[in-house]
Amino acid sequence: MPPSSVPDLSSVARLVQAYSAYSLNGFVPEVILVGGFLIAILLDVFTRRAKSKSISIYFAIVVLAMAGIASAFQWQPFVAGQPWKPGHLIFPYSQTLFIPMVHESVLERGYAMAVVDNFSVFFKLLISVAGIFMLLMSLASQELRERSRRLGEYSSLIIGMCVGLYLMPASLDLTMMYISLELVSIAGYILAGFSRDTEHGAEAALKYIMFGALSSGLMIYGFSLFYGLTGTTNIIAIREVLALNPATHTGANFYILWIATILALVGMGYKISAVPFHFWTPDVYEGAPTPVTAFLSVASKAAGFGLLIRFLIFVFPEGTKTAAPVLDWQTALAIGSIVTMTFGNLAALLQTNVRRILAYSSIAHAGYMMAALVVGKADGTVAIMIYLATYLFMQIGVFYAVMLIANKIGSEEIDDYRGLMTRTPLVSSAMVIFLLSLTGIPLTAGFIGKFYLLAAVLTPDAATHSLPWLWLAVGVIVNSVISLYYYLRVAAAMFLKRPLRDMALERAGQTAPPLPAIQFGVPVSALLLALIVPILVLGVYFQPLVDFASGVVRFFNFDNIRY
Amino acid sequence: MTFAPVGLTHFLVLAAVLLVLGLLTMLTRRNAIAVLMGIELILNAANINFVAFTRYGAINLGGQVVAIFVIVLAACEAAVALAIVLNLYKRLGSVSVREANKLRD
Repeated sequence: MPPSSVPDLSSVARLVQAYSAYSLNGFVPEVILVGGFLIAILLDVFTRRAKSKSISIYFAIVVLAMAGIASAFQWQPFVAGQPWKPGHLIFPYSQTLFIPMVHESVLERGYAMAVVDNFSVFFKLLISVAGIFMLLMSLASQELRERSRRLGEYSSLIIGMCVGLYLMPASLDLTMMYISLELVSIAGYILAGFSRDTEHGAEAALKYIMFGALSSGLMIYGFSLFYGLTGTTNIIAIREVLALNPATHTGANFYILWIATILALVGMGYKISAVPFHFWTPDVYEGAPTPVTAFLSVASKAAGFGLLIRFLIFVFPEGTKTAAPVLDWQTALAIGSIVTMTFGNLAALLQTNVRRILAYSSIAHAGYMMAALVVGKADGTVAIMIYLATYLFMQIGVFYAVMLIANKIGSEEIDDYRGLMTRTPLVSSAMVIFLLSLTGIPLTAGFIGKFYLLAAVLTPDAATHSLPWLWLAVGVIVNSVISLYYYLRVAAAMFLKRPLRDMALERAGQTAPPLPAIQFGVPVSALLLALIVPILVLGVYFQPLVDFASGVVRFFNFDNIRY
Repeated sequence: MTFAPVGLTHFLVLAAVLLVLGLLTMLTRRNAIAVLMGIELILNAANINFVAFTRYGAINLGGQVVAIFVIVLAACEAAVALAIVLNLYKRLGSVSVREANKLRD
């Protein structure tokens, strides 16, 4: 064999090896989290008294803040005209050692487990902020205070979950996607069942792990089909092979590709609680401790969307309807989106428990965001990111208000919310602001999210000047109107209705002293204000957020996403 | 009588059968432990796929690596799942998934 036919791979191998050690530079936030996770376990051993256990929550806040700052430093300024280039590649490896055909500069092609680009930085910041709010919220939680012996375990699990959440939107490889998703899920199963001494907690954890394990199992089966079709687990390489080799998506393989894509979407759809993978959502949201519910509904959903965007846009870039590979995932996703939002909203109408209403409404919100995902392009991605950033404050805020009320009156039933306005004006008015923002009323952050989302869905098709997704936009608007009813039902109960006790007494011809006022401490109220202020500010002054999100997406450079 | 040599198709069919059996187990059994066994079947179906594609596709060793990761994560998941089921038994005195129905509309 002439030596020229064998490409000189030793140099590539050396380069990859050298780069692998160097890649740890891009891994700093995750290393901080892993270190914090280990220290949190040790801290739990050294704090004996139940009272001092809450120190681990403060420690977790510091760790998450440090990791957030470290990921903020990974932000790369955008240079005009520069195509998408990965920042730090984490654990790069060479496909060229095995497939000499595609032997070109491996590092520029970005075969790596994960990548540090502005997209992943955005999600890391989002997750850190959500985690810090959630931990501050945990300090006020009655449910957790009753179990303060196990708070060390609680905060270390949150840090561990954040490692997975950080890696989910950064993954470039099916292996890393699966591992990070499982990391989040396994920590989530334990946290959902944190109040394990109650039947509700035990049941919530069981339902979560059953549905979670099923959908992640189906997802990895779908990944195995992708691997079989293309011979690689890297999503960029999968895209390349699909484009270069028509045999991978013609004939019978077309159906295999469909099955693989749908199975892969099962696992991700479960994370964002899209119909029909939503069955766990109401039960887990009701049974888990409220801070955990808030975190699952914000951070886990955000990271799920990050993973979904990365997967769909890297494996099937836009324009794939006309160019190979032909896979009309957009229509499939559009149907999923409309079913998800309609189901979530209609089911929420029937609920009497506020936490269940919010659970179903979070399914509806996943549907709205999926509508923007259908559009796919830069606009759609920007819209999802803006939506997630505004959703963070209102969703955590509304769960915080629900938790504060439940701490005092011990109930989450809508009938027990009657007349709360006179008893606790601050929390009631805060709750109404959060609910209005969730509906998408102007002057709140929720309106900005919905506005950009609709603008993205209504982008006219460049070639035909028609609106391809008009029906989807109509669906979003109709659903927003439906959601107004059940959100305002909660608000009306607090503001307009009289407590059932008073009405019963009146019918009996008696009068009773009004129900006692509910007092909250200064730190509790301060956190509430810290959640309201971003909602009101983003409602009018949203340009920085929009610039930030579109900076991320310009960096993606959808116009020439060629590797 | 001659048999075709064992090839990729045999393994893929085996994996598909395992997947279907796992799904059926999960959907029909009411014992939580049996449901967990169904999950293991699904994960093993994926593993067989990965390993068979690596062996017969002769592309790279990526699939075998994934299979090892899946085995490890399946063990983690099983550990957590068994703890959750044990806890459920302590609360309800049963491991039937039908009994766990306190949370509903």
